[in-house]
Amino acid sequence: MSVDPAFVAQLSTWLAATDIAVLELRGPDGTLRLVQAGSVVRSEAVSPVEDIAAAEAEVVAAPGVGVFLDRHPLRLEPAAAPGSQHAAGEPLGFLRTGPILQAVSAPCDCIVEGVLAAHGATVGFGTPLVAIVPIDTGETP
Amino acid sequence: MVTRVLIANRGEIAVRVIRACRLLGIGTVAVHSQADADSAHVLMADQALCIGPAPVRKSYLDQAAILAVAEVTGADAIHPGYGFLSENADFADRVEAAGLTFIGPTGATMRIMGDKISAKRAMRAAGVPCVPGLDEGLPDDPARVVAIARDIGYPLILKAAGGGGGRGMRRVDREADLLDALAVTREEGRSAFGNGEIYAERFLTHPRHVEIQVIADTHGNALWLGSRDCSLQRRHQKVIEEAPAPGIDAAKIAEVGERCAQACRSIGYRGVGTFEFLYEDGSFYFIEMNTRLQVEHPVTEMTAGLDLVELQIRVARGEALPLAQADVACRGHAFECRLNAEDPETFAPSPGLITAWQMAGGPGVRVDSHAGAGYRVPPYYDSLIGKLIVHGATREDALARLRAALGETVVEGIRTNLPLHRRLVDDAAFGTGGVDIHHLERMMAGDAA
Repeated sequence: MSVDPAFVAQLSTWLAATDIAVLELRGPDGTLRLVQAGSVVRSEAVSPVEDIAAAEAEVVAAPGVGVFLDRHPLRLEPAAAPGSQHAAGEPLGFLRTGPILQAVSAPCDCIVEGVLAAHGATVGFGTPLVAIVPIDTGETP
Repeated sequence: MVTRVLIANRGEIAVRVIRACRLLGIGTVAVHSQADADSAHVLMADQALCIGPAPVRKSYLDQAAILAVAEVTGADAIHPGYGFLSENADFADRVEAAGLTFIGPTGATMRIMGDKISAKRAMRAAGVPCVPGLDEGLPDDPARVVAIARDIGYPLILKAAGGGGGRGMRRVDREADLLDALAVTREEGRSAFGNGEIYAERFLTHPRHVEIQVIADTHGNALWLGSRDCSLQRRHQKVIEEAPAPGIDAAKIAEVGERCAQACRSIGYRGVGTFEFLYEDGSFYFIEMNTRLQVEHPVTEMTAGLDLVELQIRVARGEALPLAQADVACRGHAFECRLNAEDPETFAPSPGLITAWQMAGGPGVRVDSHAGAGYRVPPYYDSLIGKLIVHGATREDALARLRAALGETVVEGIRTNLPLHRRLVDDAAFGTGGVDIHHLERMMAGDAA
């Protein structure tokens, strides 16, 4: 995770002045963990792969039959990419059946591990489309 | 033009349709539930897509999902097989409204023949003999109902106009029970079929189930392709079928067959269909028409020497029938045993893993199946795992072949009705031919007594 070293130093100073054991910053390209180790604060960078592997990946499957589109027809960039973060309900891709375009939505707040279906692939009910790792928001439903 | 057929079905009939398409050089698209992901029809088709989870309402009966598959795969025709959506007039309409070919009759024809009262009226108009009774629903006035019933005579049977497969029917033996029975049947008809119309007809006490196979094209041609006897039934589920119906004068069958073909011409029928009759004391009585391919169609294929599914597809793509009535002949005799994954005594379904599968072979033996060793019979669907079909020069030859074939057949890991079939082919009355529709249940009741 790329974070300004000066910002990390500032956070470490603040953390050392508290009784908080660990401060973790998560972003699309990884996680930075600041850990109180006696009188010093140690920073640990966690790669996206390690980070995601540590959590349990889930698969978002096709809710029906259609042609999978990784992006909205009016957009150039894919709706989801490895490492991208999405709130629950945001589109991760689309299913097109004739004139009908149906969003494939994130079932929860999540980080995308990988897009499993090719853009333009014909898919059936239950075809794995996107692998995600749910983000624990700490909220009690 | 039909270039790619979507098969809206599963199991042996989906495999059967794929085979016919291959012969015609037509592409195939299979649809399947999650439970059928490894099924034979999925592996055999050129393309396959899952349309939903195991329950049929969310998969094989999901019209929108099936039409979506046709859309994304470019299928230009849909073969409904039997069961599921095969006699759903609304589905046939939706298929055609989507610009696709429905391999079967039009929705309008299905509606006429799907309603027992309108079907009976149409058949009587075409000269097809019907069971004594009115061509209209019973009135609400109790006095008129009683008078109509006296005219028909007792015992009689009340039938829900929208019913079928043995549901929505009630036998009435005496006048004192009539009105109560009518009220119950009417309520059943309303709740089960959304149609409270009830009609009454004479109850035949020892009929046989004899049916006539027909096919009609869109050029005004209609043929009858022979008779079948499907009297060996339990709870209206056929167990063994044969062609032709034994012991019935060929001229009599030809007379009824020709009327069936004429009825097809009259109503503008298209595709294959079956006229079902009760046959008692030398007379035929029309009961209903099935506007689709039948499970037992292979026995007609064996005796007529025709591929009915191929003809069905040819007719659907607008071709005229390639033969005339004079070209249709009945050669030899054929039997079909329905192999079911079920307890041979209690008839309870027996899903599970097939650990051994050895089918019979040799001259005159055919097996239509989607199952095999390693196949897991799912608990969600009909228990039919295959059909053993034999053909011989005479009924005796065919029966001998059937006995030998059943002796060779091995299915292990699940319970099947093979023991029942082996017993039936050694039954003296069945051996003679011409048992009535109650024969099997009498036999089973005798066991229980």
